[in-house]
Amino acid sequence: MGGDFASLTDFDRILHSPARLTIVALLSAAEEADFVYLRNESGLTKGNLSTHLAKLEKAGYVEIEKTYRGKIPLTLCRLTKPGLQAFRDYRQQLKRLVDETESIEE
Amino acid sequence: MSLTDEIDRLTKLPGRSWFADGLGELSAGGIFLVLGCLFILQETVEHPLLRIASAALIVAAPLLIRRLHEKLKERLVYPRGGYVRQRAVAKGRRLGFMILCPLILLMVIVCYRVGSLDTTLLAAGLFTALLLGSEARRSGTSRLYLLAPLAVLLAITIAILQVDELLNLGLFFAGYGLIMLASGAYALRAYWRAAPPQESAEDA
Repeated sequence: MGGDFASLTDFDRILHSPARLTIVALLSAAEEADFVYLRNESGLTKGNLSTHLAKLEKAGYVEIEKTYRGKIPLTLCRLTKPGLQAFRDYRQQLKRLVDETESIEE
Repeated sequence: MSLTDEIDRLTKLPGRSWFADGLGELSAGGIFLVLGCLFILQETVEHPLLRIASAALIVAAPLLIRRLHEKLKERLVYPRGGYVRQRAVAKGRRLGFMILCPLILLMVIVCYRVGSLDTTLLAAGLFTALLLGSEARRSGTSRLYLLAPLAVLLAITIAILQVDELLNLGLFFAGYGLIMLASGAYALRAYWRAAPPQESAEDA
């Protein structure tokens, strides 16, 4: 039981952060999104968002493309396949933990 | 709100953003209005080009509406709220549409040939309602849940009035187009109030 519980709580440290989880959750439902959209929906500051995106990019979960729309600079973010899988695994793990906790309470 | 609920909420946001600003209704409403006017015009002016134009517009409508929607978003929304592209529609849903759309089109053609145009009118209302209902469910946009049954109601009302053949269809498309334009304008106004223009678009 102890071992099972440990595996349930062994969450991905990259995703196990409110800010990064928010970013990845938003990107999981999108083909791509720009920096402005992520900033508006996450409520993070520019600096904060940049820092977390850099961490996610370093982990291989997000790819970032700097481009232009006309003359306006644009930073596009996309979730990679490993990133999407990591998010799905995280959600399943969370759901298992909630289910286990509820069964203990009963 | 629990963490799982919050994650669910966040994953639905990109889908909702497609309809949140009302530009979808503005695009569709505009095309519907033009189509309605073409049908009404056919009542007074008998010209084969008008029939061809109506048929071509019906076929091209989904593509035109989408392109118009995207262009409007680029101009009016992305500079304010940022840009997001939803994930492609799930394969099952695409397959469903690929089967459903030709079936409904076939039903409309059969109704037109065999029955009166009123049946075609009701089919148009039902098809519009089904489409909007499906998008409402997918995006979670509550406004669309109200618009969907209005399509059927309008079609039934016009059918009961028994105005005239092509005029029935013209009144439906023009009338529903105006309803969608009003809904879209209301949503866009609310969106603009909530999302002021960004000082600088970008980023670190």
